[in-house]
Amino acid sequence: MAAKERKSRFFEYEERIRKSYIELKKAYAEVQDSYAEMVFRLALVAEYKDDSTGTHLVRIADYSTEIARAMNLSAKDVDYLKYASVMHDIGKLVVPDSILKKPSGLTPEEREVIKKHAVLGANIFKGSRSPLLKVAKLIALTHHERYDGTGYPSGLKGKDIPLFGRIVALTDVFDALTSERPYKEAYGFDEAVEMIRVESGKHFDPEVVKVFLKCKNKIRKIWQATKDIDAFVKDKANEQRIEN
Amino acid sequence: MQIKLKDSDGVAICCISGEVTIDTAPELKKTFKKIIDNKTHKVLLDFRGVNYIDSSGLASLIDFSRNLKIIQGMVFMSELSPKVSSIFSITKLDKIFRIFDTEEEALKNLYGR
Repeated sequence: MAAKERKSRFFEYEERIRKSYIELKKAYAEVQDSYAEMVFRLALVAEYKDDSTGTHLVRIADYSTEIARAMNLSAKDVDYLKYASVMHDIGKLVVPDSILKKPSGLTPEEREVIKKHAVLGANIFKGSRSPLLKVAKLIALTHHERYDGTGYPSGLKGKDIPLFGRIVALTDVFDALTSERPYKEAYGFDEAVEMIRVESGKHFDPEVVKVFLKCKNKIRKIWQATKDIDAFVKDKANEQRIEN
Repeated sequence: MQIKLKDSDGVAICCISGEVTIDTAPELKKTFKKIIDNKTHKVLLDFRGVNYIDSSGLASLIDFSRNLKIIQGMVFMSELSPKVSSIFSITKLDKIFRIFDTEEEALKNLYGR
């Protein structure tokens, strides 16, 4: 083969490989995108059981992402936390409605059933080789552990609780404090921040609390943004009801 | 995040790419302000390049929608990826905003108004 022809063939192959790489990259991005979509939609099913709103999931993802970034976690870990954190309560799918939606006065037996959601949620992801679902399993299992060792299901203490679990433990409680529930009114933003602060070293990792307090302004923006979203959706729903 | 603004027969098409988040939403808000100041009434937000949107990003869209309504304008959205679409869905904003699969469909509907 003449040198000129060889050179031309080489460039042709190079171009084909380049195009294939671009297509593969695009296909991979599409798969990742669909993966993330499934994570959000599946998480929403569990939230519906609990009468929570989708904005709860958005807040958990946003709060957790903000704290993770401020703690200088790698971009990959921040991303895992962003998506995996929304699956923290997936185990509630297997808790009976009669217990989950009881407004008050849970019996000790009923409390034990609710506690099982941590293990049940983790079992959903058991055996998965996906890095994202491994993180989801970790978070589902440990987000109710307490820094002082008095949490559940395993009574893990301090840094034995994975960092992802320590972060979601805080963001989940903070969101619960600032949300209205059947058994309580929402606490104000600053009041809830103070309630988190006093639990530093007890319920929550002091380092995570420190970062949370440093990020307070951004956390407030996230909290306000989702209030705006909920108010907007409610207003529009009322408008449509009036029109009909 | 990158934003490209172009005009198509009186419709302002805002092509957004990257992540629309608490850190990048202020930049998007500046573009939205420009559109409002130009008194543009029909706006299409092209999301094909957007790979994530958070609560601040969604709130900036709501704010824009409200401000446009004041000047009798309207905003449509198109080309949301499955992930971004699911975020709109879980916040129920997919029931509020006019969202189309393609730019062509969205423009057809916008021109007709």
